[in-house]
Amino acid sequence: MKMGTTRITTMQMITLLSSTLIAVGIFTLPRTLAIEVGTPDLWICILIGGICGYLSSLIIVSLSLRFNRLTFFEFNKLIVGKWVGTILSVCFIGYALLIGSFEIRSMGELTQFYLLEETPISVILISMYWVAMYLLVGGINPIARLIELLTPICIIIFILVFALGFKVFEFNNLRPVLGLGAAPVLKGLTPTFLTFSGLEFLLVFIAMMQNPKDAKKVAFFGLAIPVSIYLFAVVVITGGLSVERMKHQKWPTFALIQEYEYEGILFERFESLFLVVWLIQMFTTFVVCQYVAAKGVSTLTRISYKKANYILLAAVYIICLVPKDLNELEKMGTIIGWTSFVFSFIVPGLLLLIALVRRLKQDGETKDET
Amino acid sequence: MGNILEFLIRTDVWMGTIVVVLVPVGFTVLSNKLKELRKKTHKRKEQHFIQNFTLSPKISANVEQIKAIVGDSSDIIFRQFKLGMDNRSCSIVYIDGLVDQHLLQQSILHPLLNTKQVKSGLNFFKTESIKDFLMLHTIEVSDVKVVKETDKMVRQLLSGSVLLLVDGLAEVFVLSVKKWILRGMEEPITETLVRGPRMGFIENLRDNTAMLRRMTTDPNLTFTDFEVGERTKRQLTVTYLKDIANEKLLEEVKERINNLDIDHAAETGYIEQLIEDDYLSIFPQVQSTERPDRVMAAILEGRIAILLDGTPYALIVPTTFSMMLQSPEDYYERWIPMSLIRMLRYVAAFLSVFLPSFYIAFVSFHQGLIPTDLALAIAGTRIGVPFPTIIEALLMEVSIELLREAGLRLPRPVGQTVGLVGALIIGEAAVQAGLVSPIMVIVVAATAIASFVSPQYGAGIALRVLRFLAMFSAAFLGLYGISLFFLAICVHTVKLRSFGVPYITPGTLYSKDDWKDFFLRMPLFTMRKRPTEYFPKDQVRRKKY
Repeated sequence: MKMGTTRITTMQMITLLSSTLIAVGIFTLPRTLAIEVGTPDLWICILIGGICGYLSSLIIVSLSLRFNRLTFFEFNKLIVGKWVGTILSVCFIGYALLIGSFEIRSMGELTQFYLLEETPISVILISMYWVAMYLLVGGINPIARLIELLTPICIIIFILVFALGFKVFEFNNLRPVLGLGAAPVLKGLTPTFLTFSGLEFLLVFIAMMQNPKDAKKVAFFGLAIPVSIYLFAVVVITGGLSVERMKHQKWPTFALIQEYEYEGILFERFESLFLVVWLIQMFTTFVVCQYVAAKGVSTLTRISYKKANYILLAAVYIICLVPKDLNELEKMGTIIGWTSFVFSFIVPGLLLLIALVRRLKQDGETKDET
Repeated sequence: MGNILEFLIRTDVWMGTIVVVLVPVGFTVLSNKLKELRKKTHKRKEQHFIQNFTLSPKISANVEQIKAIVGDSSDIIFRQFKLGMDNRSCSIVYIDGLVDQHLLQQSILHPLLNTKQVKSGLNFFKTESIKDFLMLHTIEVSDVKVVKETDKMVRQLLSGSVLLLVDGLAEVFVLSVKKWILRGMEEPITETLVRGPRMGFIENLRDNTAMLRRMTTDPNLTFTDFEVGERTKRQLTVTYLKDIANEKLLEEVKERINNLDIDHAAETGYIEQLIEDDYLSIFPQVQSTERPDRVMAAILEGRIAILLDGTPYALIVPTTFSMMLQSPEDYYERWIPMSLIRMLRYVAAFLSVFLPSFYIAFVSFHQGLIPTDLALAIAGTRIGVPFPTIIEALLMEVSIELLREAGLRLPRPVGQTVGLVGALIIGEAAVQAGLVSPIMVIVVAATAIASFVSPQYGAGIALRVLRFLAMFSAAFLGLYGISLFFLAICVHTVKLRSFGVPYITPGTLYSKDDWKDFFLRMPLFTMRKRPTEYFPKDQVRRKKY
């Protein structure tokens, strides 16, 4: 017996989207941005990235809302036909798997570096996959509930940890604004896209919402929360470390947290707190990616959702071991960034255009999600 | 290309893949198998514990039959006599000790032995009218039933009623003059409050329902009776407010109680284990209480209580995790201190699970993550300790559990002595002998105290078990292991439901109003609505605000 709704509430959707977007970027973005941009204008990149993300989410929302209660895997066939639709779906599944394995691999690398130096990375990865699997087989409702439960705590701790960084904050590190013009800022947009990859999953999740009409609200708040956190983080890190030092740190975020110490209280250092919370965020991002992929496979084939999960688990595990070292992992990240651009702008834009031209619209029957 | 080929022939990758997939698959298969076990039914002959027989007009035959069924016992009294004025044979049967002797004498035997024909349309001397005559003019007991079904009759006899058999009647009078020894009403020991009623349920169901009835004159308070236990047939009462409790929930509760199959339910614990959602879960999914005020508050929120004859513990469903950390006193005292105390309980629950594992993780994996002075202090105290931290922690935790268990069963003064001896002497001696570090003793003691804060015994046990699991995960993977374990608990609780209500509510928002009674206990006037998590029919508690 179940009481209450079996769909995702608006609040759950907002937390789901924002916790998908808060992921490995919080560690990697400051450095990549610092290298690409080279001036203290990093925060402008994030702001622009956020606005672009919102534009793309508007396209996604209006596309999804044309096809009531249908996920991307179902409605793309209606627009571009069975064959092209299937190819798109397969690419989308592959993309979700790629993000999922990228996030988990990065998590593994970082955990190994900071917490468990002597533990083989496969042990770290496998144990997290098992916990994720335990959640995934339960379907979307437990996932949404878990994220709703944990995300607010995580966000508060993130903000707290970064806010403490004001101890070493120097305003001069942030100046000059646009000292070298707008050109460096444009270079920084590519890594920002990788950070906001995950937005495309709205294509799947809007169909499962209790009130799809709130989708625009979800897109706005779901983006605003991570964008403000990234913005806050990058501003504090730039202010605390300066751009030059950010380029040379492997993980500037961590360097910042190690920079300040508050003596006399129980934790003098906040790395442990931060790492735990960040692990939880990586976990939720992976779970969402894996859910999208498994949902796609079960829509396209006759394999049940649970079985699809197990099969994809093997795939994700193999994919995440492919990059040999951090450099290759970074390359993988760049690929994801570009694919994300394709799936958040080009594909939904084209689909929306075709749907508008062909005047396609569908009111799918109301059915409960698993 | 070559790289990928090289990668694809690496055996460790493939081994890892197999492990990563097979373990969850095996886990799922196993848990499905275990869950199906509960649904498995065995065919069995219908059991009739009381043989049916047909009542004959001849009294001697009926008495013989009853004797054949229950006559072997020494506490069953058969008393034969003749009705006054008439010489008709009568017989009363009852169980010695379950009947009020005085009342039996005065209101049954005496009038029957002195029956006289009175001016009435009924002729006392005729067999056809004797039944109505006795009913109307003779028997001085209010609760009288005339029963034909013999099994029902025998059940009534065995539960303390008096049977009156009259010659010529193929029916039996069942007279209720029950009385037996009962414990007086006391304050429940496991749920003592500083402020609040000193009432506790007792072992008699009727008295318990009366206690609830005394609290309200609301006509919607409903008691629905069930019989559980195929052999012992105990009375079970489902209690709810019929204009508040959600119908779907009520249906579900009734269905589960109807489906439960057991020969004897000694305590509501039996019922709890048979109706709960997931028997593999460590968390209690049903709340049990001895306090009538708690039951009343629960049914006013739209929950449903289950009372069983023979036990002072009532069950309340559905239950969520936050309820395990609430006490009725939260509402009896003022809101600011009680909100703080409630938050303290959440902290205590967290510490009672995670404190020793944090110690293990920080000491054996991440010395760098704690302040240097503290790390040095810990390292200093650990000089000469011959065990790794996990063994040290297990040693102390197990001895604490031993002490607790030993103190629980012993008579109270002795129990306290054991506690003192254990805590002071063994702790002190273990440190002096260099077996454990003094900081470990502090950690273990703090954990034990934190685990006593939980206002519900069942919740405390669950957290104790989780503590050991947390310690093992910390010993394997350090802080990362603890995070994963925390995530696993969260995953488990978000998947768990108690009678359709997610166990984690109101941690996930159904409505902002439910948060008024979660970490904080907001002022009473702000709680205008009943908790939405139980989907009550009548949502609004009061008009103002």
